[in-house]
Amino acid sequence: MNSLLILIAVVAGVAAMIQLVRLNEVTSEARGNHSEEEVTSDENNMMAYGWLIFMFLFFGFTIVLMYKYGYGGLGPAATVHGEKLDWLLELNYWIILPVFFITNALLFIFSFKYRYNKNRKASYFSHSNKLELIWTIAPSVVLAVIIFMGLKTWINIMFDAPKEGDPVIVEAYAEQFNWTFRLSGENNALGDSDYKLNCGPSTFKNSQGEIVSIDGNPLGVVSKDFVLAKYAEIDSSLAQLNRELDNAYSIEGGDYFEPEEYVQEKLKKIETLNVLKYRIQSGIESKLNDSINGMGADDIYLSTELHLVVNRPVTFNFRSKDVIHSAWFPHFRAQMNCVPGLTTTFTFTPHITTKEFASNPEIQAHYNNINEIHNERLTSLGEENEKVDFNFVLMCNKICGSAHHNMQKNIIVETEAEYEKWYECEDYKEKTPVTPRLDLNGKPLVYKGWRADSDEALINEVNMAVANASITEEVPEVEVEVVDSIAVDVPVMDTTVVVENH
Amino acid sequence: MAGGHDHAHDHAHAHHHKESFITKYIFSQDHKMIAKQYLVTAIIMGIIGIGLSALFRLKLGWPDTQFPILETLLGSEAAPNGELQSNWYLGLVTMHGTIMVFFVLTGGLSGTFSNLLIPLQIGARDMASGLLNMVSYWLFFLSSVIMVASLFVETGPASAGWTIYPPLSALEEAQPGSGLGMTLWLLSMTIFVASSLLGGINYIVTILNLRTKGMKMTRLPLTIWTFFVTAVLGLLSFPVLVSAVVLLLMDRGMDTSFYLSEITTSSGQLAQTGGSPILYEHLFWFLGHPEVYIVLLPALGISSEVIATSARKPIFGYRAMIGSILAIGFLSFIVWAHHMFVTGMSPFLGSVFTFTTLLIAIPSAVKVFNYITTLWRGNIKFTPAMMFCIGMVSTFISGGVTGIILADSALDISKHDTYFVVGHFHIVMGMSAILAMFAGVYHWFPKLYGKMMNKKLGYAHFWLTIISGYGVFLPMHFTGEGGLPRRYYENTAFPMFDHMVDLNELISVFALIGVLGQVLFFFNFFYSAYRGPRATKNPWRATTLEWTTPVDHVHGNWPGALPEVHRWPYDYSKPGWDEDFVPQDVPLKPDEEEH
Ligand code: HEM
Ligand SMILES: [Cu+2]
Ligand SMILES: [Cu+2]
Repeated sequence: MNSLLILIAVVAGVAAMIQLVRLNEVTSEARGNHSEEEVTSDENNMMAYGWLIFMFLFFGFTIVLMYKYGYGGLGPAATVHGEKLDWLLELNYWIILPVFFITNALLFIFSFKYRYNKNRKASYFSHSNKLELIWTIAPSVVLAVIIFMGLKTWINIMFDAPKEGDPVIVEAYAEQFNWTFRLSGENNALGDSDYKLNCGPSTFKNSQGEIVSIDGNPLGVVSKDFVLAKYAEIDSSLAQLNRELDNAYSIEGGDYFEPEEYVQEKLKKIETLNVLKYRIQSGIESKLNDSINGMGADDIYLSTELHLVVNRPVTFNFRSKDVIHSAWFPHFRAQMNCVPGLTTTFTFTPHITTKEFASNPEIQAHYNNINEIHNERLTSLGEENEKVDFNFVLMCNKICGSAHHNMQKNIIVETEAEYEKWYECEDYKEKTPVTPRLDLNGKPLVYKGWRADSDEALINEVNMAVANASITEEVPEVEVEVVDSIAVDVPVMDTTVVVENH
Repeated sequence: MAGGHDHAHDHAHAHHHKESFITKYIFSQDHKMIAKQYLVTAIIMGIIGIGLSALFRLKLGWPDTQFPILETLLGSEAAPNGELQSNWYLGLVTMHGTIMVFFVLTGGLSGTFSNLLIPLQIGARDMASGLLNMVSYWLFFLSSVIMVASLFVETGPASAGWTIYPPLSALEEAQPGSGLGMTLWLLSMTIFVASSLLGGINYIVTILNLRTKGMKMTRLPLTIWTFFVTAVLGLLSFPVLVSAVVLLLMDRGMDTSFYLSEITTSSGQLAQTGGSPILYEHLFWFLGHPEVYIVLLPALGISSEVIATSARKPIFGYRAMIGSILAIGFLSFIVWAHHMFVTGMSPFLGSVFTFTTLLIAIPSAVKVFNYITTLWRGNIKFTPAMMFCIGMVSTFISGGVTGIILADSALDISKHDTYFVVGHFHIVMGMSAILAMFAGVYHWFPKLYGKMMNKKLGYAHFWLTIISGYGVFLPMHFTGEGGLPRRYYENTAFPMFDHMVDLNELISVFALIGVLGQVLFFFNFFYSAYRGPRATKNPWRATTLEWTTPVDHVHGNWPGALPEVHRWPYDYSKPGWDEDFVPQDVPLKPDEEEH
């Protein structure tokens, strides 16, 4: 079909060019008379029939598109509210499609029917209050219905759904260009997080006085040790920056060797780091007694796919690390922006498992087609063929930078039993970089991802930095007693790291 | 020139021979020349804007093909080996959107036709302030140059989408286009706003004060009504964009945190807290939505005029038309947050904005029905301009109905930012306004250049444009229904979109046909401006005052006294008259009723 279209395009282009050349002659011939001002009756009729033909082409095209692609490929909604939305959408289509066809048809048919005829005079029909009233009131009534149905559904999704059925809480954390999930664990509460504690690999002295290293705290979860880890990171950055500035300073000249702007940049960086550190001390450290911070102890981080239990409502908390992203779950008909500085939420209930959904004959046929097209393309690129399976997906739907088009995570909806199996067998932990998860006895369950750094020199350096930084020394090293009134049986641990003693 | 008419007339003559080339063609204060300057600038910007869309459509239509032409045109940074890079894709989309909306359809459409028609149709010698008018054009020109120059910046043009939401647009680390390219974008837009404010004030003052004798507000052609409301909308909304831009500039350069909060970039945490990107979105869309109507209203005005003239029939429901223009203008200020249903703003606000947004459908529907009734029992001459206007009414319908879905906060959850939106706004705003702009050019070309454009080329141009326009934007609704997000550089990262390859190719084929079709227009325009056949005074046999002026432009518009107006502008096929039109300056017969 497409090569045909390209052919048509080429032919149309050539025809246009020929027209162009012809025009050149026609215009020069015609100069002097008023042929461009008068529409001849031949031309007028041609254009009038043109509208009729156009109408059939236009409606035909629309109908072919609806027939061939109206299905869209997403299949039926996989959530409870999604079904309501689809129903509402269909209702809307039943209203707007007739309007679309009828008004367009009237426009084209009137154009055709009332084409110029020199023996006729147009009617001098300039207004009619009755008609005006009719077409103010008729759309108002229809719109009232649309507004009422729409708001009912909206209120249901946004206000009612989150209050029903004790939803599971999951965090989806967006960054350029990736998603990380955090499950709220046994207590169904997410630990506090703060962007200031977001930190990369760090080696530090923990609250028990042991030297430990972590891969990082990518979600900025709040805990005493993460605070210490962040201090260590800040201190080593400060030390590095100061060293660089020292080296760039010439005693004799009393001037910096480095270009002024580099120096300014570094000084600014130092200031920012000090501000951060101050804010952590005053804003986070002082609040570490709050029970909520203990909630994070059993949180589970997933950098792989997310598993959900069918028919169990889930509330997503969305956060973003850098720019605005949008969490778009097309099959669940759910979308919410992830805004830096703001936690947004969306609640929905998936009501069909991935397996069931994929076994829908429609979806199967659709995926057979997709596999064919997909592998055709891979073959043409000289790549190995692969099988594409159906999956619910999460993708980004707000422009966020160069890889905006490729921020994807699969979501697997399964039965409770399947979920338990997955949850227990710790498969996911293999792929999870950071998993500070404890069992109910407070024993760390997972060791993977936590890296005990044996780089002696590095540890010493960081150790020095920690010891030297006067601010850190003010950190009280006492065990903080935590009163947890919400989930009494959840042990609140102030450390979740694996320790390597020296 | 705001003074007595006779004085102005003398004045015009006194200076007629002193005009040098520079004051006549470059720093002209004559509204007709300024209109032409706007038009030509807009056409050049249009070539660039539409050209960019053809370039990035290549990537979407044929994701695995290399197009050496891309490397030739954009350089090896942007398209090494003919493969467009993703940040450049975003840059092209951003520049395309910005240029089309602001430079072609705001500056170009309003600038050309408000300038040309306001004095001519209300019977004035010129704009209230010729000087401000000239400054307004040159600011527009300057901002166009800066915007185009930003395409040549090494790190690429602004690439955060035409809405430039922070933090993406605020942080240089977030993407290369947020560096110098974004700075130029902001600079250009600030100058652009200054230009439209100067223009807008001038339009409003001229319409209110310089109407000729007998030209009551209720005798104004609908074009003038739409230009008037458009100018008011611009005056009230553009300053808000400037504040948004200034705050953004401060966030970018002075470490303030109006929009920034709790951000971690590749180089660590920023100190800024407490700001909110949502604030920017509110400010932007407080302009952004009225902007849609700033684009659309002049298009509706032009169509009203051309449809009545070509159907040889009064526009149906003149007063209802004015009422709906005013209603649309007012409502357009209280709907902005329908662009923000899923930003995390309070869902209660979502309910309010759903309600107000759907209200706009009522005056819009009234307008459509009035257009259709105007055709009913008319006697239609299909001039090229009329073809474009009928096309415009069709796109206004087709794009309007999908707006009802998007206005519904609940339904927008699954439509927001998908290709469904791209299809919707291109049809209702992009195509409608572009078609009307073409209609305006074909219709008023005799007034602009004293020449006629070629009719046959006009017809060919029309059919290519409407067919390819629908061919491009109707299918986008279906890729959107399939969940395809907009601003995606390629759809191949998700196998679930693989079944759309032929639809995407189809869209791109139509896009290329459409772009090539515009060659007919450019040729026709420039060719006819120089060598077209000479026009007569009133080629379309229309009633409005601009057709009582001489074919060759004179400074001051009318060589003698200003015409006096005795009737409304739509006396077509009036019973009791032999001719099927009665110009506005013809007195009523003794026993004639006005209408
Ligand atoms: C040949 C004609 C045109 C084609 C093929 C075309 C195509 C496109 C495409 C494919 C996009 C990108 C969608 C995305 O990735 O988000 C786009 C964006 C856009 N277009 Fe057009 N377009 C055309 C004409 C117009 C016109 C006449 C307007 C005037 C209103 C316009 C305004 C916009 C805007 C505002 C955007 C959004 C830019 C953004 O996402 O920041 N386009 N266009
Ligand atoms: Cu994104
Ligand atoms: Cu809007």
